[in-house]
Amino acid sequence: MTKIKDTENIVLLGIFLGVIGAVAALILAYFAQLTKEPIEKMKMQATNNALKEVLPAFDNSPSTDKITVKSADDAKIDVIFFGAMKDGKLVGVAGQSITLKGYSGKVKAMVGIEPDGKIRTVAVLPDKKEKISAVLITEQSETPGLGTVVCDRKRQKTIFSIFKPEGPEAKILPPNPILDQYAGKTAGKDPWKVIKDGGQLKYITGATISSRAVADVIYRITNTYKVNKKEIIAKLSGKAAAAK
Amino acid sequence: MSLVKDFTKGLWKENPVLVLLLGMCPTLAVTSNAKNGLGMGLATTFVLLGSNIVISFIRNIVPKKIRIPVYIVVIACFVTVVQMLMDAYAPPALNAALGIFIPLIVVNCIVLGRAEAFASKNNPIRSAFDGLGMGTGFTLALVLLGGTREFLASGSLFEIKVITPWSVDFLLPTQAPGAFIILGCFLAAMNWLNQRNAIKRGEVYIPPQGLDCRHCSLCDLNNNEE
Amino acid sequence: MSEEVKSELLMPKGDELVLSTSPHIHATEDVRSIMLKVLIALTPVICAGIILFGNAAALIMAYCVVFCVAAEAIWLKLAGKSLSTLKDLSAIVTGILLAMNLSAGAPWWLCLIGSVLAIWLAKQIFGGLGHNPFNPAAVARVGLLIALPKYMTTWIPTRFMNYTTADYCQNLFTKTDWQNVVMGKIDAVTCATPLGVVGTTTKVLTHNPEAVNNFAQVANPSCYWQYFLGNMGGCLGETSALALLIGGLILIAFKLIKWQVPVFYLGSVAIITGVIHFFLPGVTPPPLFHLLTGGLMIGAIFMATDMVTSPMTTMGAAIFGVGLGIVTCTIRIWGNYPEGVSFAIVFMNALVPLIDKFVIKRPFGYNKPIVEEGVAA
Repeated sequence: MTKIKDTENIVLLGIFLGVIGAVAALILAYFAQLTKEPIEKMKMQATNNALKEVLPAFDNSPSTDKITVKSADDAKIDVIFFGAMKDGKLVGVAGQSITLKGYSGKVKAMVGIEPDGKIRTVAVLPDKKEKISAVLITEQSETPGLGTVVCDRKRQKTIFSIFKPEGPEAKILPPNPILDQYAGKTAGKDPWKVIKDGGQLKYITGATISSRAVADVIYRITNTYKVNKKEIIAKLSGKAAAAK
Repeated sequence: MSLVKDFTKGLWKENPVLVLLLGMCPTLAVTSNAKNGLGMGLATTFVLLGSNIVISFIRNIVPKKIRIPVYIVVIACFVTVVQMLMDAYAPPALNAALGIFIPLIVVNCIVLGRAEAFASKNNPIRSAFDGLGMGTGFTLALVLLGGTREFLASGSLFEIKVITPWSVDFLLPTQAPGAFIILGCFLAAMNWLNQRNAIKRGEVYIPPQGLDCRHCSLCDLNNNEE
Repeated sequence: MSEEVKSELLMPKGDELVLSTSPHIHATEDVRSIMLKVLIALTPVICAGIILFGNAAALIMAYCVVFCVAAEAIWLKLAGKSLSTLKDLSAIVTGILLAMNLSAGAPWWLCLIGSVLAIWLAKQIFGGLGHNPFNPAAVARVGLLIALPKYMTTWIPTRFMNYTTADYCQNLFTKTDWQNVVMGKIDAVTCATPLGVVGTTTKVLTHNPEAVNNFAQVANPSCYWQYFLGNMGGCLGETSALALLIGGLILIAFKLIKWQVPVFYLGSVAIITGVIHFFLPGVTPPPLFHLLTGGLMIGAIFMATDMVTSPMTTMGAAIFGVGLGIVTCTIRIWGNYPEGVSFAIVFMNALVPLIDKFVIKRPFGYNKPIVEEGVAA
């Protein structure tokens, strides 16, 4: 019998490869089992981190208390709403959606929409209170240096900040003039437009398309919220209550 | 003694990035900052170490005819494990930056190259040291490249601003062309240093032999000519 | 082996190169005189830039020239080369060309970075003038565009574009901007380039009247005369087609450039955009618009024709020009950037050695060597 190392027997070779594959599959199955839960947790944490930026303080897990609604202007696009609860009350809603009008592909945004904190029953939220509290772009592939200026909120760490304790500015969302101008706005009848197209919104020279895309996705979320408000609030409060 | 040599040759003399020029895809693509370089380097080191040891153990029973598919299965297995571990425990930002490049470690030339050139011919302990050395060299080169690119772009290192007045990002080094330009500068510097050291010692500078395409026996190209 | 055979057959043997006794005709042409002629050809463009953009333009040119010469001097010093090559004026020409590719609103440090990119990265690292595969000014523009896109795409209006003049300016900036300047709300008005406007206009793929008028706001006959004179947003040197054409004629008169490069370049751009505009008018404006706007003229006349980085043969120059046209149109119509001239020049520069090899001239009386079996493949 020749050594297995020099064998040319095709059946033997096949069996060998099969065994190696089976062993590899077993190892992978074991690891998949092992990491299943941490991966889920990690994914949830990533969503929660983004939600923390746009929502007021909450004590539930908004990434699970969510509902998906069809966009008011385009049935092909979904808008996901997350509810933030504090002491059993709905204190904020975050909407997440995409637009395909970016300069290179889709732009994904997360918008925090705040109900007035003083109102006890969220169901009677007046229209004027559905303001945007904060906007966060979570995914984009715009031109570096132009489109990204519209989308980025960068938390700048410096060499000095390592040595001194983090000030209060580390907690709040880093500013972005383009995204911050949406704060306090309420969706109207017509889509928002940048100044260049005859609207009111500021935009970055050289990144008109990215600015338009951002306006588009933020309007989509707020408008969808406005159209489906009752349903969203009822479902989100119900879901959180059921979880309790 | 020889174990030390197995480890240290990967750091400088046969550095996978700066001398062997292997694994250029992750080298150029992920090193836009130092953190990504470090993450990619550590992931590759883990795969290299694991695959080198396993392949060295099975080197005497793997049929010659199917050794490459077997090596690839072993490497792919380790890479998938790394990917799952990163999904589970790595910071989300790092995971997002490295995401598509982790699966590419499977076809990273360094891993298969070390498996074929070293692990399949040496015992597991030496192979482990070889993998560790090569991985460390790869990591060092990636961190160096990533750090340089990040620093030239925004004056920061590991996402921490070192030169605080630097406010306008200079994006060239973080983009693809910058990767090529800076890697080119590193290679030139490396060759210049080696040459200078050789002259200092009074030797004639010979570029590393047996590693370039003409001397490597990996694909047996030369046999056809001679 | 085959290389040796070839060179043996192509090159005359030593004793065949007989040098007759004097008198010889002395060719007065050297690098310095060529660069001087290029500078003369650049004069109309420089004047146009200063007339259109005022003192800011002159200042930027001065910065670029000083920084380029300084960068060259520093490199020569560090590399231990003789400083005498500074006298060949090539750094000054590079500086002027670089300035021509910057916006009039460029800060001084942009000029500095551009000069370093042009002189060190594009020229000296390859061994200095004559060894550079890429046009230094084009490399600098591409590098700056990638590195600092905000500064390279912020244009200021010419001195002749203001609140009261030409209606067509309305498409490049808004009247309210000027009111805001007067009221002190904003510091200055930025101005879009016609190509930038086209780039942000949504493409219409149909053939209805809406498509025909898709670009009418920037591409109508009343605009073209202004574009020809240079009255639009853009880099210092690229706006005035008139000045550039005069410069081009001077270059051709001095026999410094092959006319094939600009002619085939401009021609292929005109034909490609013409065909696309004919079938899909909502996708790209007419060819005349493409010829008059952006960096096409300066690229075709001054940058693509650089002696070092363009092909040696006339046939090669024609291929080079057509290639430039194809790449430029591709980037302009489908690319991420509104303008593609500098990218096209750098890209085609890389192919010049191949083009030269492809169209190599057969010397007179040269017979194809009979290849012996087994000697060469």
